[in-house]
Amino acid sequence: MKVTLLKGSGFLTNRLPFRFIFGALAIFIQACSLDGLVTVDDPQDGESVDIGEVTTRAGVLAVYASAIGKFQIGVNELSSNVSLFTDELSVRSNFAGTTGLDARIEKHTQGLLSPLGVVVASPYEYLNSSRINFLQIRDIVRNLNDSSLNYLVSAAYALEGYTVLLLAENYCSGIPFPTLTFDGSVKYVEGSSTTEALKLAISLFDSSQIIHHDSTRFKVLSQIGKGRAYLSLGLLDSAFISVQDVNPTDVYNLHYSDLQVTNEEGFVSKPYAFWTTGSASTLGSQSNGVRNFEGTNGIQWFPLVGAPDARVPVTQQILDGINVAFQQKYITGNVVLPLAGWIERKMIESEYWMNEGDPRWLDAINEARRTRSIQDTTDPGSLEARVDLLFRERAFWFYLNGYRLGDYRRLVRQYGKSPYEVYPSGIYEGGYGEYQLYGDAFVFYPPEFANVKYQGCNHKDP
Amino acid sequence: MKRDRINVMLTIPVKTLLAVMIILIHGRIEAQRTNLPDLLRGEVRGEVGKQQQEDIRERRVTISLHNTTLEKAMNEIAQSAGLKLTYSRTIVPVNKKIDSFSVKGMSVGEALNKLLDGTKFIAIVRANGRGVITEAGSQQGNAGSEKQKNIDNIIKGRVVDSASKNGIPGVMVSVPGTEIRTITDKNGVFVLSNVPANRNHINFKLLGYASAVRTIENVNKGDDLLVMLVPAATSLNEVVTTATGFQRRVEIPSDIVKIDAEKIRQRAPVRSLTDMLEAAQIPGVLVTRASGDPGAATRVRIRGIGSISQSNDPVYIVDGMWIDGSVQSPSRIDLIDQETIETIEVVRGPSAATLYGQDASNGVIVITTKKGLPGITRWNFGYSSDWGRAYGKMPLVYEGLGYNQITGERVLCPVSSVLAFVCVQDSVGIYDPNSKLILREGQERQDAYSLSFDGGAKAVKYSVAASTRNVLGVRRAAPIDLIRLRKMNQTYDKDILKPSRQKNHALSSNLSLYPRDNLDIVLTVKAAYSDLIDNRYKLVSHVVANPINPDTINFLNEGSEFSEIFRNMQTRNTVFGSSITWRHKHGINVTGNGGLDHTTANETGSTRKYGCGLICGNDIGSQSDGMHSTTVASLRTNVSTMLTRGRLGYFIELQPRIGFDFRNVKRNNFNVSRDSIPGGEPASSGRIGSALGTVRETTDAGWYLSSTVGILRKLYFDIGLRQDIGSAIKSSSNTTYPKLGGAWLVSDEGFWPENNFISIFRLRGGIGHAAVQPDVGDIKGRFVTGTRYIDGKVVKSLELTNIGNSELMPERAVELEVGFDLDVWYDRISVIATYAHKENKNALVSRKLPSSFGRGSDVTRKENIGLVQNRSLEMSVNGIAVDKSWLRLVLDYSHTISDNRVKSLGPGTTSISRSLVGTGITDAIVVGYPLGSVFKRTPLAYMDENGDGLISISEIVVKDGGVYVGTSNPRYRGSYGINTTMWNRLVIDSRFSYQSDYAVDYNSSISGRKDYGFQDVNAPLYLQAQAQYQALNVDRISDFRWNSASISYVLPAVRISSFDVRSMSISLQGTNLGLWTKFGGRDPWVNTGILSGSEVMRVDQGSVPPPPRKFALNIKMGL
Repeated sequence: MKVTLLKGSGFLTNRLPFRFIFGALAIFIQACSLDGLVTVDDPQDGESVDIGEVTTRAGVLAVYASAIGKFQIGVNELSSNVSLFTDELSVRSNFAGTTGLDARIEKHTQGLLSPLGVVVASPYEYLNSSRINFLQIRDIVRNLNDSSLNYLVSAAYALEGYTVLLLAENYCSGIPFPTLTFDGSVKYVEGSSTTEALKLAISLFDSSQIIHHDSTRFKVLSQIGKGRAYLSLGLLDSAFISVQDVNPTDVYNLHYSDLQVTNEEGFVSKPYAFWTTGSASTLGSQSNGVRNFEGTNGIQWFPLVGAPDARVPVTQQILDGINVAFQQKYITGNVVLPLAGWIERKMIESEYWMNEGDPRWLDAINEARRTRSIQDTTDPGSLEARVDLLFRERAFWFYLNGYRLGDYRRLVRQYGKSPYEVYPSGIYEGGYGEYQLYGDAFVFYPPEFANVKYQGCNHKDP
Repeated sequence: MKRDRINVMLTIPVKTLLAVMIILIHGRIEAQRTNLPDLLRGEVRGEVGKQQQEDIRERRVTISLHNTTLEKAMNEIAQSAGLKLTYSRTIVPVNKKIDSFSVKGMSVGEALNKLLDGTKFIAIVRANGRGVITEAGSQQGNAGSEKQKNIDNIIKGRVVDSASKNGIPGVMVSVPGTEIRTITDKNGVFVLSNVPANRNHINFKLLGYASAVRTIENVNKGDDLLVMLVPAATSLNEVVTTATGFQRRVEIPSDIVKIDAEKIRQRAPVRSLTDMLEAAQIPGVLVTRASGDPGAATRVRIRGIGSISQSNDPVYIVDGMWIDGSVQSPSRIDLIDQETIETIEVVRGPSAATLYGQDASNGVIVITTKKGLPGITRWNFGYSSDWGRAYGKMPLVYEGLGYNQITGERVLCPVSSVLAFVCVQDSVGIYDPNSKLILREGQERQDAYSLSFDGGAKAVKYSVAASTRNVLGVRRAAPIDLIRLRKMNQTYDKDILKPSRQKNHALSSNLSLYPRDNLDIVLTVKAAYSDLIDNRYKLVSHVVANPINPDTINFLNEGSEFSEIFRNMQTRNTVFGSSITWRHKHGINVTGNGGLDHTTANETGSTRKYGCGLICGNDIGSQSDGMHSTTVASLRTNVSTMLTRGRLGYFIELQPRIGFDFRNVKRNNFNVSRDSIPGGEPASSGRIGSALGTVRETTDAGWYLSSTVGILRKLYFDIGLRQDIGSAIKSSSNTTYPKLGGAWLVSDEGFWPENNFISIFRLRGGIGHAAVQPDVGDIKGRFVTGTRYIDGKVVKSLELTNIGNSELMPERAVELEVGFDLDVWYDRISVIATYAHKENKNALVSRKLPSSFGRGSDVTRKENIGLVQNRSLEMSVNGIAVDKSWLRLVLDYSHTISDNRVKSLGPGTTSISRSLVGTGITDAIVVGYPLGSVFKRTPLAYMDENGDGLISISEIVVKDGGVYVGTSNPRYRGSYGINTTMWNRLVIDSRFSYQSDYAVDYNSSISGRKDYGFQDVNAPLYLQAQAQYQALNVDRISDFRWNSASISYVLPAVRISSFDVRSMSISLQGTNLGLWTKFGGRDPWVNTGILSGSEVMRVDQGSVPPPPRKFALNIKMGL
């Protein structure tokens, strides 16, 4: 082709130099489309995998395992923080961040972020990290086009719904839920109000429910999750309806262990539950204790004399001349944390009936109590006392499970209580005296930065 | 003849190989006297890339004639050179009597013209072996095609080099005030005709030589002139390597620095390429190293730091091949045997860097190795031995001392222990790490041997070099530590306490073949092996001061922790390269370079802790094993030509070039680490902490089209365009990089005053684009395998570590450079000044995405959102202060002012902090400040709340923001050199440099604080507060250094020839001879952050030795 071209090009092409020039031009033209010459080899080896290379069933299950693992840690850490922030636990250390959390102090120290911002960062990030994974799982399964993996999509919707729900319950109004597509495209969004977040959670639970489940545990997860979200929205009838199919044996548990596993940074760790309460069985290593009437408004979790409630087991010990109680609910690595189950259905039903004036509200409470052989309770009479009783029941059932802050907020929002009647208040007794009084932080707030669309919390009220 | 030629061509490989073998075996036998084929006979060849075809004009003639005629003499000369001479017997006075005529080693043209001296005829010898005797004047102009019209006012003559006496081609010969000018031919001969009788001054001008003016007494007599031009200091005439081949510097609008490696070796004890770059003190080039230990990682920065997150390393090209220049320990670029380096060119600026493709935005270092010279085999032996010692004072170290409340034993007493009621502080221990009892550094030692031989003939040239080097580092275990270990009854590997050492062996060979006059083939094979043992000891908690008498030692904390860090790295590097150059007779040059650079490294590292007792438990150490390999395969081709020739070529030169290059880089890393190694157990007893392997492969390809346009040989334009694709670039991203530059030789203009005080003045400027590409791993999100505990069992998981960004584009650097070159004071002073302004647009910023995307490492990803600006002013002055036959004194000075600024980090981001809290030091990237900046946070308020007289961390409130201290890149840098040559044999050289306005973070691995006031109840509270916060550990400093001094002597040939020695030189050299700085510690010019990729200057005053002061003896002998 080149020869023909040159021969037909007049006198210039009869001279050798110009043949080379035309030859060079031919190379030039070819060089304009060099793409074919370059092999784009994706890095691959046995230890690391590109996102696009997750194209197998085993691969998506491994991503799912990572997501669940981070979700477990997120729930665990969030629950720990909630326990300290509310009256469930009280610090026994002088670690500034933990003490500040316990005292509900939002304070700048040493140029650091406030203790609340630092301490609550970890669960916030773990939960969001798993949320991103759940989004990716849905993308991967969609790309695999394997209907037998639909149960993973259902699970991912339900668990993503829980991450949104937990963030909405405990963090301020104005939480961003940015998305990340499977190909790495990042989409920033503005912060969602608490109401919007709860509605988002409900839509995710709905999505989960309409897709095939692998077992009832995801069914109960989405049903209870939906009921819990409606409860936070104050839509008790919807909450009531949502949980009606939950049976006494239905439960979704998070499993923890003292086995060694490798976390996402490559370090070996043990996925203990409740690290802040001490992971070893020896009492001395537990860093936080259970305190009755913490901050005046707190619950009396255990009697000074006699057996404690089976739902909040404690052991009392004299340390430094002080009577200290340690929780006995989660004291080993091999624990199971129930995230959703029949007890919660009963609590939702009780609340619905109580607000409807239906006496069955007390039946629901006692029905639940009987499962642990706890004596029936009686109607205290007034509506306010009934509310207190119901929320006390919830507190005992869901002790250290991360419900308490959400309940505080509902008491303020939905039952008209003053925050100072609900949250620990007054003279702060924990730590080593760095803080004299409880602060006025009512919620956690996202440790968010560099988000081009996020302007911070809408408000930090309950 | 033709048949012979064909026959020879067919047998080239066999005969060439045979020739090589014969030459190697009988190296001392001249090639021309053997029975080698014709192709192996011949004259001296030039270097590859320069015109290699045989040129009969350069054949040397030695002849002595008496009582003969002009014709016989002419024919005798022609015959002896194989020249076919044509002349007219009717015009040429063939019978002219010649009484005596003799020449020795003169070119045939020169000999003939010498013979024709006094006649009006000249000899013109052509490269094809034909010569003609013609009347002078017929050669007016360059082509010599015009007929002589008036021979009465002719001026002819020759221009020769004052040193070699060889004719100089291309000299501009002109008559001021007229349009009469010509250019000397290949023999330096010129003829001017029609010179007006009233003009009697003739100018002679050529880049690289001092201009000359001659006065002609009587033009009409047709004087014969012999004009000698003296080489000038200017290097504008120098030929430099560009991506597209060889070009004269005068044609290139950028400032390309060319270093003659031999000159550097003469004046400083260099061991490596890094040493050479450091010793050369090139404006705009900053060389740092991680430590003064052998094999330390080194880093080169050209015109500052342009990239926020990507490598700022320049591209390294060795003999046309890409090699891996990534920062490693041992330094990868230092595996090149420095003895084989002939020249180093540092290509800065836009127009040059554009043509080297991806990653050339940070500059290009072009290394050319020795290819040998034809002729008999020359053997060269070299021996170098040097001794060195680290020097400098370390700051005093302060620690609180007290008593344990319970046991009463004397202990270290930090504030935290005081607060916990563990101890009661009663004093401050102060000790001096310079005390030889506490810290003693051994004597560094290096022995290096080199052997090389080269030679060849017309068709083959070879060069083989081998070297071996053994370096012992400065550091040696301090006696105090040995005493302490024994006292603790600790067993330890005695080898581990020896100094770090490195053994390097290198073998390099080049074989250059010239099977045809227009074809050059160079084959290169290089192999290098490095065995590096890096020993460190680290006293983790060790204060041994006696509060009463600091000069004595108390083992107050015998149980304190002591770590030994050991690393052994064996690196093997192999390079295969080939270069083919083909020249067509019409001036088309085709060059191809192919290369394969493969490096493998096996690494074993361990850390063993002693004396930590219960703290360590059974876990007394860790071990890691790694295997790393890098392969760079490259192919570069280009085609160039000169489209204009003849007389037109004088007015317009058009040199178009087109090229294509391809590069594939594959990096393979595998690491296994074990920890929890029990005491006394082998490392295999430990637990596998992690095992991670990665493979990264990047492929790039690109083409370029460029052209130099020369107008009247004084105005040059350089235009080019490059386009790249690559596996790490988004396919739709704009990867077209244009360049445009111009250079104007103003002093050659007619309006330029006819004076020799300013003989050369060139203005140049250019603008161009270049790029740094993202990593392949940054494009796609990435999972690593892990395990999770799910539903009651441990299962395999894939953990997202990198989100990835498929939209990434290369960083785009746009650089503007303007400058001038000036030769003044009769060419004795040369000034080169350049201002560069560079903006890295679309800078890749590794940004932690908001927490709402996930956690920790899950959420970093790179985005093209940054903008970094670099500005620099570079100036170098080179002057000949004394130029006598017995004494030559050359002074040089260079200066760089650089400024770096982060202009943007993308919307919503003003800073990226790398260290937020705790240390008081913030290493951050902040808009408005340079990259590599350090900020220190200062105490805002403090109060002794508990009244114990001590300020603790919790009693200090510091300012939220850091206060800018400075950057790692010195703002001002300068160097001074004095070089004296006496009787052309004795050379004395001395170099100095200064750097100012750079910041170092001098954390020390020696625990304790170096700040007065630390934990001292008697110190003012504000000093205690500052000391607690380590605020004083960041400083902006300056230094003035006596870099090197050398004295070398070249023995006279007459003295050594009787020993069959061709050349011999002895030199004594010293480096790092003095340092003057206000810095409170030892030499601050080491940067431990190099390997971690940090651009911040970090100095460890404890376990990292500074560059040693060295003295070296070099003996070189050629046979």
